[in-house]
Amino acid sequence: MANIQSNRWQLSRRQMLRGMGATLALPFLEAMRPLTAYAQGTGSSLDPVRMACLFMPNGVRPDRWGAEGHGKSFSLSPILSPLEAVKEDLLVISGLSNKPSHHGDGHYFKTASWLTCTTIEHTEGSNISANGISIDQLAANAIGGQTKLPSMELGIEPIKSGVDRNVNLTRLYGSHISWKKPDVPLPCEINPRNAFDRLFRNRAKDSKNRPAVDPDASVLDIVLDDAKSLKRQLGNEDTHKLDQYLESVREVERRITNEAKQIGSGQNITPEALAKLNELNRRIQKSGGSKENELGSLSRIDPTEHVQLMLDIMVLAFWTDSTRVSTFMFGNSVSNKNFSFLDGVSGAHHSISHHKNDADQMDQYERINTWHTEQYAYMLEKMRELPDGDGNLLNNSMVLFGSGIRDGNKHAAKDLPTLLAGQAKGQIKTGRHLDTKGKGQLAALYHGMLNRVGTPTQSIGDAKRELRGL
Amino acid sequence: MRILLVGFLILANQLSWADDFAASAVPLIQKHCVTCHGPDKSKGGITLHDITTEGHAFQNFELIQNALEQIELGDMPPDDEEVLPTPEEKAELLQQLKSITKRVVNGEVPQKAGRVTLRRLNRTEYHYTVKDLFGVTFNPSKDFPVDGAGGEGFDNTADALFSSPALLEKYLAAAHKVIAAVYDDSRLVQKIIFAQPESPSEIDATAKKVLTYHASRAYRRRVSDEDMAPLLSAFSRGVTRGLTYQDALRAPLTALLVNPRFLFRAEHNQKDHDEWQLNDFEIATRLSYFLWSSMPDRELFRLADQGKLTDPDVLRQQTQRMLASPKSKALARHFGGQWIGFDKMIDHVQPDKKRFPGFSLNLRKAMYHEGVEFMHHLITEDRPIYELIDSDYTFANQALAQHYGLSTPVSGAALRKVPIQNEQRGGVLGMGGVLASTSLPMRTSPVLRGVWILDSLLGDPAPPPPPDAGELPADDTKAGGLTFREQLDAHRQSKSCASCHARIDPLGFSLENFDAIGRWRDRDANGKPIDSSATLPGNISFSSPKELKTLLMDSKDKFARNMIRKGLSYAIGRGLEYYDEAIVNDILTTVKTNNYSTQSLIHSIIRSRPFLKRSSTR
Repeated sequence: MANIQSNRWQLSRRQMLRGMGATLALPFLEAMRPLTAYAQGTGSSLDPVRMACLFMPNGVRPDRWGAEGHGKSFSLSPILSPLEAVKEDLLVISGLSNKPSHHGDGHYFKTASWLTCTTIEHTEGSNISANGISIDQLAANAIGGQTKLPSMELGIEPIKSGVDRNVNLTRLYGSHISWKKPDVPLPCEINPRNAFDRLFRNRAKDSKNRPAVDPDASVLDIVLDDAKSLKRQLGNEDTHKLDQYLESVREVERRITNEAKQIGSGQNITPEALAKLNELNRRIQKSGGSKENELGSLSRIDPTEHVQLMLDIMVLAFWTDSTRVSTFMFGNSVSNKNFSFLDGVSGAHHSISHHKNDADQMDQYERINTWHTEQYAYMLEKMRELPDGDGNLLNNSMVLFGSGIRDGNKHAAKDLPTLLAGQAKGQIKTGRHLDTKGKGQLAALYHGMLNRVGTPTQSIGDAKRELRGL
Repeated sequence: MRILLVGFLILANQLSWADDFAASAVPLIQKHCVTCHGPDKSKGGITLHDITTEGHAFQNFELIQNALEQIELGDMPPDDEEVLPTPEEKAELLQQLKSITKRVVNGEVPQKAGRVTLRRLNRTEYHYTVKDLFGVTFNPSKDFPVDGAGGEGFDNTADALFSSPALLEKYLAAAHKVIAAVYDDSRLVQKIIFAQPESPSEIDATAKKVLTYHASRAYRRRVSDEDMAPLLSAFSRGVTRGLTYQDALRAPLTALLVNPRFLFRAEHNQKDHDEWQLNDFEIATRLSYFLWSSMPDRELFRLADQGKLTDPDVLRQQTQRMLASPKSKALARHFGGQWIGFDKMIDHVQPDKKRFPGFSLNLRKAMYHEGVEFMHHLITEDRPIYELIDSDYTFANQALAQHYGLSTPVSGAALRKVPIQNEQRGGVLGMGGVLASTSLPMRTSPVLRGVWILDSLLGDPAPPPPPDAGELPADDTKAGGLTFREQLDAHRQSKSCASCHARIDPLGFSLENFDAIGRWRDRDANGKPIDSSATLPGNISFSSPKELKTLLMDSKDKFARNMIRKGLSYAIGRGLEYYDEAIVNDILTTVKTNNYSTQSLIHSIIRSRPFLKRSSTR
């Protein structure tokens, strides 16, 4: 019998990581019970609340967005009409503004701060900072620790590099809504194959092919001490860059531990989830999203299919409790994505959003906006079909959808197009139109959302309390 | 007595340094500019209220230059302001602003080398480096997120390169994939694991030999015992667990590719010094990442190890050798591609498929490679940089030559140098990669093209449009009976637009004969004849790409200065600071003396203070 008073039997955390592979015995296909939260003993409840934030670039046609009427009796505007089927799960919120983003240019300031409600640093790149942490990351810090990934950032457009000389801002601000730290933006994964594999591939391995030692853990083990000694040799700003790296190492280590625990403790994916994963896997295969091509990452996937693949990945990630927090970007700010694949649209998103009140351009703009709400509706309907806890996945989630500006022709961060779906486990009354009459703060909505995922904060952005009537 | 004298000198110095700018310019800025460019409003994204000392003015040199230009042109303050500056006030402000810009450009401000933040390898550098390190042939960083950019717009700007857990996972996956590829290839594995232990007692020593070689290459310097310790103990652990010699090397070799000493380019600090010379290995690294986007090769390492790279003659010879190597194509691809913008052909340009059914993937590739080959030709053949403005040749394959309608027949898929007889083509303005990336999916955009000429070629960006600026229809067949040109003219009637668009649009108009995918056309999408005549403020009239190029040739110093700024920023991995302007000016002088030779520009950057030295502060 081991002498438990001696600490020889205690393995260091990283020794444990190294040995972890050996406990990963349960084959994927023999999973026995539905996966909910596996985190027994960590104090978290079962059926956790999930939170998603979907960003739409370039605003909306203002006269066709919103709801008529108040409270429970309301009707959806034309752009929102694809949401008719999920109306009872929807909270339409009007009149919110993101005041801290009123400064600065019409796009970058309004995009990078969409989830931070801050005034970002005006820079071409030397001191990039959102001056705040985005709500998805605040939530991930609190509730992401128990899942495979604390959060997942998805998108469909590659990051646009370079500096926008029109406004002397790094374009990075237009391609990032998730800020892990004020000066650490998180890039979106845009390849559905990569996003899928990152979440699910390890789970698909059976025990025979699983190495005795987790290869990532043993590699990180070699690196970590070295990184610390390097840090001692560096100057201030340099240390800062290396800290980002070190934190990333720790987070990946934590991910490996959790994954091993999750599989090792016998909790795995249900046959139903497995069937869905396999189906999604086949669709990704078919889309050709993983094809090698000399000319880089240019997506050759049908745009609608691309979005739906990414949203399906997010939904399954939520359902299998692989992550509880996720963001999605329909495009980068100032995106000139060609929307001619839609009937009645010929041209690029950003150009069309500058409609000059021209009837034809407004019509095209509306069609583009409507396509976005259709995708949102697609995701909500998928979530509603999936049983989760006592209800369905949507009942246990909050899915935010919106843009950092109202009218693409004006670029004001007032009366922002904002929708919230799902009941967050009975904490939100949906099927309503909440009109703040232009007085609501976007940050106050976020304050309320963070309360509902169990991350109460003192203040977020310019709000000290949650939105009234939420 | 001596102390007294020193004290007096300091005092005298301070007296003569009395801040004229703060005394005379700042009150005028506060009075006439800050209402619109201050804490409450920041029109055009410009704020001037926090420029309160000469020091601030130096730091905001570009802004000051911009303000100077706007005031000189009479664009600012706008005529409809209630209180306009008196002629005396205006003259005083102009004189102060001119004094600032003159002193910055002439180096009459405190000079230093500057400080580059710890640079992470970007995805391109990672790819090339791993290829050079382990000889793999695939691109392991293909799925890495695109790196953002800062400074002068390049994705190797240290401050804009971040690390995230998602990226680290990709580093891990890539490292496993690379080492697996090595182990799966019997030829390659023998090359990498170049020594085998002859007896069990030699196992550790042999592993040390192999790992020391690879670690010093991966870390781009001599390695210490401290560097080697974690690698060797990982090897020993493997052996203890019963792995073979070769298999036990796997984890430490993989770990090299995730090690921050590999992923980041660290440069040493010197305590108690304001500025110091980089060491030989650091110079080798800066040089190879500038010219090759990759790690130093054997010869550079050898010279660095011998302490010879600090010798200016050796540095020059090495630069020449490296430029002559095919690896210098990286400079053409990544510096040229990001500066001129033809790299947008890779994943951002989306000509509409229905409108331009002939725009194939092959054509897209050819347009990208035309830019690369052209730039590489300038570098390797040491051509004058102004051939970017106009040249009597380009690089084309059969498809591209047909697309352009070149009179010289070209056959096959490979690009080759082709003479151009038609003076409309030639130079970057005739390149599909430039013409398509400054167009919209359905149509050309004279505005985007004009902005691109001002910004990318001349380094003189136009101010941003007001937030409620409209745009023309995205599709030029929906022009409501007006020609496209007529619509744009109408757009410019608006006063708030006119002052900038008068400078922008004419440049784009003269290129209207090139359609949105770079073909020559005489009629627009509605069948109306193309009008490429244009008039710039000052009554400068011209028409057609050919005449535009003549006009740009008159500004070739401005173009050269811009290219130097871009090149310097790309080389040192940071945005330029005011104290770099004097360096840019010196390089311009040298480049002009050398008939604008491309290599003289590169050599000048490499022997410059910010390239070879490092300061303790930014």
